[in-house]
Amino acid sequence: MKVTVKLIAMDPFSPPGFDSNGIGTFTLADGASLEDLITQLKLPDGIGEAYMTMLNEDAVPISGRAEVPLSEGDEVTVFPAIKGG
Amino acid sequence: MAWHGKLLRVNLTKGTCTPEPLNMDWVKLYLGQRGLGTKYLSEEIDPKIDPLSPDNKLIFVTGPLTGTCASTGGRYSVVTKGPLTGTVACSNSGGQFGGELKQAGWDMVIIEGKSAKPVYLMIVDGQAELLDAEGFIWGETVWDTEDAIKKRHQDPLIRIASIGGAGEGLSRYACIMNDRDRAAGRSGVGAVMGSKLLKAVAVRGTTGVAVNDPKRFLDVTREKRKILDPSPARARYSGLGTMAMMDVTQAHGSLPTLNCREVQFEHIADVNVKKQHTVRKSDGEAPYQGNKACFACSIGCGRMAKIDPDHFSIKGKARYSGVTGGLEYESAYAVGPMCGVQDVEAATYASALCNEHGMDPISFGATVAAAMELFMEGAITTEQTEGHDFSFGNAEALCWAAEVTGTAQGFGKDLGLGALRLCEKYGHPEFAMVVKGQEFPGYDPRAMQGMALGYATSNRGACHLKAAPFQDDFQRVTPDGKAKIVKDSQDYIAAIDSSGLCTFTKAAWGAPDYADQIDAACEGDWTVERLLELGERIYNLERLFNNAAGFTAKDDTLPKRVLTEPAKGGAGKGHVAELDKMLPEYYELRGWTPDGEPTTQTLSRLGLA
Ligand code: SF4
Repeated sequence: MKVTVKLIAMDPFSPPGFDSNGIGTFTLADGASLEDLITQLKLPDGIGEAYMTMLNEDAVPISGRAEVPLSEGDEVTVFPAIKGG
Repeated sequence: MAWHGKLLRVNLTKGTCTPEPLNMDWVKLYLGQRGLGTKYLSEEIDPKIDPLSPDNKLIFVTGPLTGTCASTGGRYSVVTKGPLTGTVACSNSGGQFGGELKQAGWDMVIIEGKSAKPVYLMIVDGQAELLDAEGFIWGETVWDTEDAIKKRHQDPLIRIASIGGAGEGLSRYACIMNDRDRAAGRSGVGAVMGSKLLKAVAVRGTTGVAVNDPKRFLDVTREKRKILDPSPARARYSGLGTMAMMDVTQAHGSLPTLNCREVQFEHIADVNVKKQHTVRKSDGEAPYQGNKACFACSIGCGRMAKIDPDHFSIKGKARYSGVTGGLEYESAYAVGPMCGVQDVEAATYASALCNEHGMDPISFGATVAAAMELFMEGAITTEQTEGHDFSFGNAEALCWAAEVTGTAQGFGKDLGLGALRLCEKYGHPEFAMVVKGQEFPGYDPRAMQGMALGYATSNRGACHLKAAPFQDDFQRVTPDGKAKIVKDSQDYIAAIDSSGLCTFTKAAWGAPDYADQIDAACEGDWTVERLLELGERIYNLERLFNNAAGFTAKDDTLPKRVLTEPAKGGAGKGHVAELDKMLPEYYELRGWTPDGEPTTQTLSRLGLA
């Protein structure tokens, strides 16, 4: 299955695998979870850091990602765990 | 140690500057900055006074780590009764001023009374005097004031905290600015300074700061930098700055837009961090020009910017052609999406004018947004706005508003009242996105339930810096469990705000990192437990001040719009702020009555009885 991933608030804005708007398409095995996707992404700039995720328009808690299965055409938004600004 | 044990009392009515010993018993209970300043204010003024009367006091206060080599150890606070809210006001600033004041040998300066004529306070180490500001800097902008004082006293290293036209004109959200573009920004502390006819506090300090155990302090602060400096959080604050937040709140649906009619901004790409970093065709430069760090800071999050030389806002105005303080997230949200303005150059210009004239860009932007809604609804017309079209999104109106508000002219006087007083004046208080009279920062409370509770219970009105529910709010919209997150983070932040360090460090440091540094600098055992209890004590002391000023549980609320109109998109789609589900639990956790008053038991536990 293919899902779209949008990276935001990242430096650089568009790491390898993502277009100039921070959007990339990724292929996953059927039945893969949101957690599997995050692991597969090997995100830059995040050594030891948590990433927040939204699936389509819903926020998904970090602790619940392994239980959230992905489906063809899902849109996942990923951003670093910013603690205020 | 780490404190000099000395404060300067300046009586403007009598024209005297008198050194006094610092109350070291209070230091043990309130540390410095926010805590110690609030303790002095509570003891010295009646909470019921008019904040703009000579009875109010204005306290500049450092923390034990201010002026030391601890990373970010340059913070100071201004504590007073706030004219925007009527609550206790505590505004925290960085830059170089706080470190300089401490290095001059003072922990605190208490300003009282009212001068008969405009003056400025000049402090050179142990010497302090009041000098005439009339015909010199009164009436000048913040930037010109700083230049003039440095020139007159022949020292470019003098550090200055001053007010501009907004403070002189008693705008309810006037700031005290220091080092050109850093601000003790919120709640109108600059208007209190203006009401006292005090234009500036200028300081030159060469005496240094002694710590309790110098060797250990150097070792500990070095060790803490090894945690902070390589952290991803530091990389982001430095790389993209706070502006990175705008794309997050946009995606999450918590970006206050069009005076909170919307929670996402359709023109985000024209004002976000990427836009700031995009090279313009006109001059081949990007708005973002580099970073600026505060005293002793190894993060350096401050943005510097250059406005497009061809932009209408600065045509023929050479003073804005150079590099100046740039948009940070909070200013950018307010003068951008909140007003529907999609012109990054206009937003940068408006924010620069806020620095130049000394006004809080959050309150300014949110007040303009309220004015735009009044205009759209026909409650004000071009008659009030002097011919300007105040429709949402009009960048020209925003720039004009910044000019007239900063200089307190015409309709700018109305805008300087703040959103609540403006909307009341024109018959629509419901358009004011405020808590206790203070305008929202850049987080819509419908998708962020913790922020909703944080805004409602903040002791200085709507504020994003007094509680830290961000991480949890970005993960779930339900209100359960938020009360504890908000209460605990409020207490923790109150302690950090009293230390002399910057709140942004908490993205990399935990409570033990603060305790270790304070303990190495100060006498006595400074443990995590002691700091957290001290934070809770401060929070309750602020609450006692507000209660005595007349605030009750009914003031712990939010504008009707966010309580009744569901968010239209994002993670909070269909949700309203569910305060009623969180407040009772919050009061209980705090040890307050259902009326929001600390119980006698709570007060005696915290040593406040
Ligand atoms: S992190 Fe930013 S605001 Fe805080 S002290 Fe450093 S430069 Fe100043």
